[in-house]
Amino acid sequence: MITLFTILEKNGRQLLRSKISSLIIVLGPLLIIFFAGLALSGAALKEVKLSLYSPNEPDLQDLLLEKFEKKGMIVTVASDLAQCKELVKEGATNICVEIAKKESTLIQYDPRFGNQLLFYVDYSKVRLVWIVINSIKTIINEQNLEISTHLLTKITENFQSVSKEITTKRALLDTAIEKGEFVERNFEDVSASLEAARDFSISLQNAQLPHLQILISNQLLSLNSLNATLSPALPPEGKIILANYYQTTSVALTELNSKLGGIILANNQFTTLLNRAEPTQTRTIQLQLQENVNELKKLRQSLDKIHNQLAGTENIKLEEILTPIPILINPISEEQFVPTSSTPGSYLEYLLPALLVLIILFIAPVLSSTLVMKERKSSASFRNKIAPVSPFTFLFSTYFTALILISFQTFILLLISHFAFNINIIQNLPLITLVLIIIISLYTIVGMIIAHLFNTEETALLGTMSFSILLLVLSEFILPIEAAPLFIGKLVGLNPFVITETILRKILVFNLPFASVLTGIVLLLVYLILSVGLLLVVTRFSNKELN
Amino acid sequence: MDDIFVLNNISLDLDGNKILKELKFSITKNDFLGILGPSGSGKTTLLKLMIGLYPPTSGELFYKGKSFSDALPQIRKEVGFASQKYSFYSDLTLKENLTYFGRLYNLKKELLTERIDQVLTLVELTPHKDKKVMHISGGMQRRLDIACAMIHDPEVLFLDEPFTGLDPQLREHILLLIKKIWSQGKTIVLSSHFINEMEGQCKKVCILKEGSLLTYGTPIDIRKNNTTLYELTLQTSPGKYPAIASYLADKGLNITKYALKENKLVLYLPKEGVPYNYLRNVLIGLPEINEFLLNIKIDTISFEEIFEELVNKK
Repeated sequence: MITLFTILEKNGRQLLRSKISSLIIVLGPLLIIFFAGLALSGAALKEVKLSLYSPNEPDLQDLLLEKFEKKGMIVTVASDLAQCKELVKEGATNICVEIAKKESTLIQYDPRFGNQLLFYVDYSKVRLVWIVINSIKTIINEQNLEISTHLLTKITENFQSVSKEITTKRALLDTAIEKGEFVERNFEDVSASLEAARDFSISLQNAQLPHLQILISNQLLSLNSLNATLSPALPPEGKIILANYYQTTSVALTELNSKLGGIILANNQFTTLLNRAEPTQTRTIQLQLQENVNELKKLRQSLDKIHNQLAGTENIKLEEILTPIPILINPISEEQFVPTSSTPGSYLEYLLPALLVLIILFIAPVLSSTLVMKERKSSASFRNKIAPVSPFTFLFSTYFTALILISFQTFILLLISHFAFNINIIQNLPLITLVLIIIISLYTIVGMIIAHLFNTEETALLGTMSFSILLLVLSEFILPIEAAPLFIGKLVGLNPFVITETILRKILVFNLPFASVLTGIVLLLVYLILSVGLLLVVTRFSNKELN
Repeated sequence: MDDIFVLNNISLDLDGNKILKELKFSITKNDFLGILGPSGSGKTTLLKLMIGLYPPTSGELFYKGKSFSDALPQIRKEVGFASQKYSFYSDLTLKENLTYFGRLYNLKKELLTERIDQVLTLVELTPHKDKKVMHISGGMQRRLDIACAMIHDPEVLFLDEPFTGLDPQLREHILLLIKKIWSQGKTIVLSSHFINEMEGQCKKVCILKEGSLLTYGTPIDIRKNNTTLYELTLQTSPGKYPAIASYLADKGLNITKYALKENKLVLYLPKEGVPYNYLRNVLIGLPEINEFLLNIKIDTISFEEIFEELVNKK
């Protein structure tokens, strides 16, 4: 153990003796995080350069020009399409945008429907191209939204006009229904009266008025007979009284008889009329009246429904019609920082996992291979070899030297990320530390293996750089792996760079628990064990050669 | 006998090539063994084998009576090694280097401090202890390398070509240092191709050629056993050396061959003759051709020539 510390101390002295080396160890991560922070501090894409060509649409060109420039883009207006494309080829601009004509039936509503935008891009700069296209699309979409909103406003205005008309005319319908209902109600009263009249007529008929008329006529005859009989027997005064009585009574009876005759006649006429208004007929009329009212009500219901539907358009947001399935780019995790136009911030949190792994991927193998190669090529290596110290002690010391230095650099990176860029490191610090130690160990040991395989510092450096670049290429960091053959995709899944980046992303960005990264950690540990085994084998052969 | 190392028919094959072939000799306590041989003869490989960097293919190697495999941890602790290439960190100071290597040998803090002072004093680098190694001279770096090899106070010090790249003055300096270490009771095993320097210093010498042991013993024994000529060196004025050689030969001196070395005439004479007679003939002959004698010496041929003879003959 003391020997190990002795070697570590010696390595430290050698590495820190040079002021530049010491500065690199401390300033290296500071510079990286500084530039990464600067580069990723803004949400907007700055200084996108584009060439714009519009042969026929000066108004739209001016409009887009204004919007592009407002977003901080540098726009060069090309005189023709060839020049527009040439600017991209020369690298003067990132993309060429042509405002071209297109057929559309919607031109009648808005002439801008007759335009389309054509992008001409250099796909060798594939990542930039997509960023630029997305950036421009945002502006174009704003313009599209404006045009579509204009069109839809017109349509909804028409709907609202119809709705208003229905609302107005609905009152008339209400009146008609009310009147119908009133008539229906009155008709029922009339029908009941008729029924009563019929009953009355029948009861009149049942009263045998003609028989009564005969009885009255008979009584009149009896009265005449009685008068004729009595009158001679009566004194003159009696005669006079009788004559008056007779006169009055016979007149009354005659008149009664006449009235009865009139009543009978009237009743006959009334019965005739009642007979005309048959109950079935009145029932039919009543049913028709009800049907009419019901039809009117149904009509009103339909109108109400149409009205409600049209009235609903007043609350419809036009943006929803234009983008029924809106695409909103939101963070997966609520804790994540979301840069917006109003709150510009940093994307560093998203890229910190990849940045960390990338730094370790390049520094750890290079540092460890340099340490090994320096020791192997050092004139002192012979004296180390003949000293009573196990070769494993020297291996451990190289490993620990690299581990300490890279851990220190990583610690600085994390520290700055935490305090300067508000990325929460503390919450998952133990897990982050575990993963970082595993990957630093893995890449350090890989660097040591490479150093033992090669004979010069230059070739060892080339070897480590090739290793790092290979892992980098076999990841999604440079090219979309989805475009690669299937077996490459599977290889990518086994790439320790990808595994580590995924683990750190889960921990740092999404705050996922240990269980979610366990598989990845186990896989990394397997790699680590394999690499340690390989290192021991390689060291054995390498030491033989060096004797 | 206090045998430190005993090599018994040691052979080493590397990548199908026989690098060392049945070497058999021993190193005793406080020995000063010089391992000589032309480039590629296996000197460095032999030293590395003896500290366990190569396991012998065949034969037996003992350290203090223990088998090699059993004694390897002990060898690592008790042997110091200064290789042909300097072996330290040039971006550390002298003291830091000594501290580091001392700690590799588990020296306690107090002892380490003491040892650092001792070895720095021994190699006369105390004033430079806080300088970075890259800022000191080549001679100092060689001495530092020896100091690093001595930091754990080893019983045996292996020195692989310690004079390579040094001027004669520095070689002398290093040689004195080695002798000083040896005088402290250490066992020195030194490989070199500076043959003449070895003769005067080493108690024992072994000469290797293509991995085989040509000869092993004290320099005197080797010289005795491998010499067939005397070497008569003379310096005269005006020094017409070819004429002198020709005249002396005509006068009956049995000259096998002659050579001019450093403005001196070297005559090679058969060992069967009497040195006194050879000297007398020369002393008589020189005035006859008007040559004034400045210096004369007769000896068996130099160790370097014996070495060359051995290497070329066998």
